[in-house]
Amino acid sequence: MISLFLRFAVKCLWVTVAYCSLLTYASAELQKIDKLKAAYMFNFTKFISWGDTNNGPIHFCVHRSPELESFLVALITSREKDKPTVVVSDTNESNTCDIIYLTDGEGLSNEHFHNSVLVTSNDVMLEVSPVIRFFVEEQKLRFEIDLEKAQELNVKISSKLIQVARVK
Amino acid sequence: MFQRSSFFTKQLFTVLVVNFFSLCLVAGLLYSNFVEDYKSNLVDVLDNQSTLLASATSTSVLFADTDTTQELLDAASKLPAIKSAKIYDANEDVIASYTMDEIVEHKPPSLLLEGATFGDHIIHYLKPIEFSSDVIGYLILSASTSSLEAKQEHAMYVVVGVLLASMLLTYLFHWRLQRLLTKPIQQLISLVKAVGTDREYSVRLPDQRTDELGELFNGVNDILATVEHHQTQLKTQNTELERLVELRTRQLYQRANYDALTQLPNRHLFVEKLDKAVLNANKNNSALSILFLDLDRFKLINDTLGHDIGDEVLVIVAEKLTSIITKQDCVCRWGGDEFVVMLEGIDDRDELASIASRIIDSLSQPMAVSVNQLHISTSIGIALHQQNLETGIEILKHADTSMYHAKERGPGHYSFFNIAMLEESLVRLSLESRIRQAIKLEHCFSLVYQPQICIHSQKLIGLESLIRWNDNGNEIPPSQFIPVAEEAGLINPITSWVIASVCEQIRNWLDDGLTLVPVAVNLPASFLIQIDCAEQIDDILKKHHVPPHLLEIELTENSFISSTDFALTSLKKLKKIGLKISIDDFGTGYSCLSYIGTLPIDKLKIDGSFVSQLGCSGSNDGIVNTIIMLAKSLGLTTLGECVETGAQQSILKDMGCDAIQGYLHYKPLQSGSIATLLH
Repeated sequence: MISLFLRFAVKCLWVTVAYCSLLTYASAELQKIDKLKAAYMFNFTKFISWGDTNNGPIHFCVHRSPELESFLVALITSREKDKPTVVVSDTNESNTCDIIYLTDGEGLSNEHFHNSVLVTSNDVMLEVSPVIRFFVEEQKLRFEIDLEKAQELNVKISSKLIQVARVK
Repeated sequence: MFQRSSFFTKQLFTVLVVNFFSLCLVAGLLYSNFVEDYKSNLVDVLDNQSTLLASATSTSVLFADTDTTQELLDAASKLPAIKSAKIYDANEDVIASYTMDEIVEHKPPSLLLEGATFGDHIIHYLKPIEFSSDVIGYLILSASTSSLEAKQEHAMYVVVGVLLASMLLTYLFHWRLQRLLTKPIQQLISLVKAVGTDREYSVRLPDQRTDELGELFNGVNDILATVEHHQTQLKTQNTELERLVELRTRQLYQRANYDALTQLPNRHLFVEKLDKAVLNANKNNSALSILFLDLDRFKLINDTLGHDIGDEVLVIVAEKLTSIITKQDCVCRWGGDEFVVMLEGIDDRDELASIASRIIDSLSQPMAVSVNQLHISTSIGIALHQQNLETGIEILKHADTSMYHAKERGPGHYSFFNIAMLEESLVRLSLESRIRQAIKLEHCFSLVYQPQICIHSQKLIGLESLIRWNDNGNEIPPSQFIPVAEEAGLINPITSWVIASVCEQIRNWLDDGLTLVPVAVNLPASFLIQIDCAEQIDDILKKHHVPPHLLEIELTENSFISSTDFALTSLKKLKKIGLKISIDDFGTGYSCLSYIGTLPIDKLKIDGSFVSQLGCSGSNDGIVNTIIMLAKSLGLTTLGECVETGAQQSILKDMGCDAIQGYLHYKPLQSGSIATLLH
């Protein structure tokens, strides 16, 4: 009994150490604004609905930013321990992304953007316009929503989110 | 003050106090409830507002959108109650806020509890802003409590107003109600006061009521009826009692001031009248005279015929006196057989003498009392009031003194007071004092003995002891000091001394071997009437071992006449002891001859006044002869006193007298001379 308790305690200790290390690593690599973006994006998932067909977790794809991906995973894990509503993966590892964050468009085809809510920063230049675009205003991170694009994608964005966003 | 208030005021006050406290309690509860409700409403409003605002701003807070947050917050500023609103992020940094001017107090979320926190005139409401169950910020709404305080103040005014109005209504209502309810009580109080003040028990309370007060009224009416009945009885008894008291007072006054027998004023009333008369006489310079009456031989009547007859005599005397004097004058019974007459306006001696004579004449008239025809007389002393010199008592004393002088002149005389009488009285008093002194010293008195001679054998057959008093070299004759001693009550000690001295002398003579003859001792009436008279003499005889037959007792007629019963008892006892008894001065008294025969006596001594007249008056000789014959018939011996001549002796011898005593043979001799005779 005691040995069982000790093994469970050691396991928990390892998991905790690993998580802390990962989070520390991720945090160490990621800039503050990116962390903020990650948090924003996690919150975007709460205000966007992808229609009635999508009943499972939201697939959040991060393109070519493993640090952010890791941070986002850690964030989601910390927020939703029991039943995560968001699954984070790299764009190359997932075929269906409900929401994609990309810092550059290299290596992505239009297939990847199909039916995905694209989130980009201001400085990313793509052929496809994003639904949500981050920008900095008065040293504050803000975002812009393209309602037409969202309508095209048949996703619904909460008015609350729209209220705090700049609408394109 | 409360204690001095009326019962109804106290009751009213009590009701008001109770009502006041009850109303205060209700008002307090209502006020508290109202304030709590308002406070709760205010908190609810803040809760609702904060919930809405927190919900509305959650997204903007989530995305740190200060502008949007401020916009939403500004919308809240339209709410009138909210004076300040602030939104903090999770780090308690202010994201957005608005503040009204008057709000000065700000507290960070960490200093407030979730929900309402009341401060000084302000209420803070802390609401966490949550997103997905995470607290992403805080909303603090601050509202002024001035409206609450205004409401509280207003509520307080309302409550106090209601309280005062209620109290006023309570007072008015209760006052009016009390007047209605206490009206019968007031009737009762008025009745009790009226009854207590006027003692009017005929009043009644109305008996129409059927409640408890009606029962009380009926009870009071019953009590009043009972009291009225008792009062009527008391009044009747009181009237009867007053009548009785009046009667008794009159009787007491009568008893206190009037003589019960004669109905004349008594000594007390007379002295009052006399004092007034003296004052009047001094004031008006008018005349005032007093007549002091003493009935002669009244004691004889009383003793021989009884007190009933004596009382009737006194009544007749009173009537006679009243009929003689005028209505302006006053006659009183002074006591015993003494009467006093006060005559106002008369100081003429002739007129007074006339009145005294009329009184003496009137009283000298025979009185038919029962079956007796009585002859009495009176001696009157007359004293005239001397202006401003005498009191009433002094005039009375003067009249009394002069009365004694009248008595000395014999029955039926009057005498005017003069100053010499007073001096004589003083001399008499001095004599009395000296007698007292002499009795104490004893050696002042001495005895002489006068031999008694047998008329036939001329031998000594007896001796009469006679007392002599040498007062500092002056020989005071017995005729002078014996009456004073009798009046002063000093005669008994003198008699005791005489008996003891005689017995002692007899003892001495016996011891000397002399052949003795009986020695006579004069025994006054006052000594004889003593209950232990015989015992005293017997004790003296035994003390000196003297044979009783050697002692002879000489009595005057009046000795046993004045106190017959006691005298007779003593005489019998003395006779039983063995003493000889003779009657001295026989013929001068008023003894009943038939009564003499019943007395245990041995000898009659014919008074010297008869002896001295022997041969000079036929009637006198007849009296002496009769006395001797009487004595012989009674088996008594006779002795003639004061025999100074041979002729007197011869006559007495012829008449059959047994013995004589007098200067013819011997004058009174000293004991030594007697001893020579006895040899």
